[in-house]
Amino acid sequence: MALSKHIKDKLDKLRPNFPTLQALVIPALHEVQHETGMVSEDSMRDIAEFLNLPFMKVREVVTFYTMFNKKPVGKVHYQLCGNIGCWLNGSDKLMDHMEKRLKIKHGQTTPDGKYTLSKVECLGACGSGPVLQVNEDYNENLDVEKLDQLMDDVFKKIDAGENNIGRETYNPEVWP
Amino acid sequence: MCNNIKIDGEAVEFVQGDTILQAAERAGKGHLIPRYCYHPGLPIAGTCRMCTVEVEKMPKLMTACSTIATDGMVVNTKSERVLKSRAGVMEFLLTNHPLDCPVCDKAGECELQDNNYRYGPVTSSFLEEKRVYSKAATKKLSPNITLNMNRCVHCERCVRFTEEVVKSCDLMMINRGWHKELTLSDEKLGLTSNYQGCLSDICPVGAHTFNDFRFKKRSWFLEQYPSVCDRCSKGCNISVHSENGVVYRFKPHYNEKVNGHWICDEGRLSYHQVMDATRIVKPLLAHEGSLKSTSWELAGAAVNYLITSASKVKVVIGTDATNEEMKYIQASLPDKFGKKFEFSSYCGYGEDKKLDHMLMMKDKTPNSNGASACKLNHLDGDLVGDCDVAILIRYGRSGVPQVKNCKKIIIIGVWTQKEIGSFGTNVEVVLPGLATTEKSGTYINCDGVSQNFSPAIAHLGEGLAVNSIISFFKK
Repeated sequence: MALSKHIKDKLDKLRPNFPTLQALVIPALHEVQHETGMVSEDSMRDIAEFLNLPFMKVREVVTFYTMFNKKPVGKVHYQLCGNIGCWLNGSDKLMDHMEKRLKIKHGQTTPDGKYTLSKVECLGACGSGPVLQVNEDYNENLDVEKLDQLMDDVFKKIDAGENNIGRETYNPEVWP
Repeated sequence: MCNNIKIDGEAVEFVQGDTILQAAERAGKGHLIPRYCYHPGLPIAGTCRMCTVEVEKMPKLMTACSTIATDGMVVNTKSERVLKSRAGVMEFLLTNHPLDCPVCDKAGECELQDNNYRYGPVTSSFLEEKRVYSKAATKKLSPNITLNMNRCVHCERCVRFTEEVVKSCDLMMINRGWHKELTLSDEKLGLTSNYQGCLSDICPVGAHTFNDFRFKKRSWFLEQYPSVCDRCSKGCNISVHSENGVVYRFKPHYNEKVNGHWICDEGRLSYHQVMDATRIVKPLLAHEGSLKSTSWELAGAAVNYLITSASKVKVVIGTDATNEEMKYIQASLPDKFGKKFEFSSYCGYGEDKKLDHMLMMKDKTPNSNGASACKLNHLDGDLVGDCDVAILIRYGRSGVPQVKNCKKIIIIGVWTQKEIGSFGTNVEVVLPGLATTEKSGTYINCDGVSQNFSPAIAHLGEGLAVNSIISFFKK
């Protein structure tokens, strides 16, 4: 499977704005993830080929950032920050709570394919930790009650068949 | 304009563009600054933080490897702050290190060990469980290299080596932080370069070990002497590591003009030829249809008889002989026996050319240029023949020429039984010589660089230098 024409066109348009081809790897990965929901090994190879880079240059970026999904994710992707700022404010307790409620460990997807729970690296909102990213949206200053409230809301939305949960504020045309 | 910085109170000159570490190395003060990620043959990364030094008027400690030296800089490598920082870095590097030095092949030449003795904090405040990479604890990356990821200090020298030096890009770091791990970029392809041994050389710890040397010898038993690699016409400088005349490995020896910091695997493994069990190390004489070991006097007398009774003798000198040997043979044989000799050289690898962007050459003999310099013409084709006696002189590297219409062959140099077997019963005398690591001489490499070398090990058999061999041929 090669990259779609839409992505290729977009990357070609971006090329002049980036100093090196390697700098285009992250935009390319974002585009692929937006299109397919994850970054597979095949698409890494496609990007490497399209940008004329060794495969490792793409793979090391993908494995470095937790924001790229290496496996398919559920309809709702809970990404809880586990770094120092959030951890000091009790993100480990929130993680335990979520694991119990969803009956999965972090890094796993529920059998019904609705939820994926991940422990991620710094989300860049350390001032308002603990932070939970639900799909694209940030939820800050969480505690167990707020978290329960949030998860109830998400549950209701999934039940109602909503499609853009956690993407209310997300506009793919703005970035990059 | 003078370019001076002060390192520990002593003025040191530097060249514009040098970093502090390079300036210190230039002045012979490199030992004052410990380092892991820095290697002179690789791009600078500045990741290990071991080389931090205190620079006056700079608020933070600076990495010596990546801070450009400027005139008037005052550098302190021994201040309390620096020592404390180094101890801290050492403590962090050792938190996850398995400390399995007793079974680690790198022990004795490990930078982690050395630096810990010098700068380490002695104790550790780490009480938690160590990180263990169970799958990569002993992982064969290729037939040549074994990776032990638990020992890795994540300096990424090997990654930069495959990326920037050999440009094969076959090693990479995946994941991040605690989970960061060195892997092959492509498990199916594996390591593809011909310079894998260098990974083991540049690894500051025992993460990469070279399988050929792994568990063969403790490094502190080895004597090191410089020599020149004779596996191809490049003539890379090597250091021969041996104990009691037995070679255990070749390592590259820095020479900016020839090989830089590297050698190829083919050259690295070529020491096996010197140590070959079937190499002939005693003079042999044909007797009743087979070759029997004999004394030098008897062998010399046999050669004397053969050459004296012949009217036409062809001498083929392999292009793996030194300049001195070529000149000596060309001068001494006619001097002893008169003008019945016809000299030529033999290489056996055809036209020389570069095989990659680094060091490997197609001509697998070290001295083709030397043969031309000694006015030896290359043998026409691969055939020696139409003469009474053929003398074949070769030191293990050049091809073996074919002999036709000549019933008497004298063989001199480094040969294995198999190579001699190709001549059948025509071999009359075999006189063992010395291989490159065992003798002194001069080679002229493919770029015209003339390199002298001295013996790195003592020959363990009865082989002799060519002048001693010829001294047994009496007039």
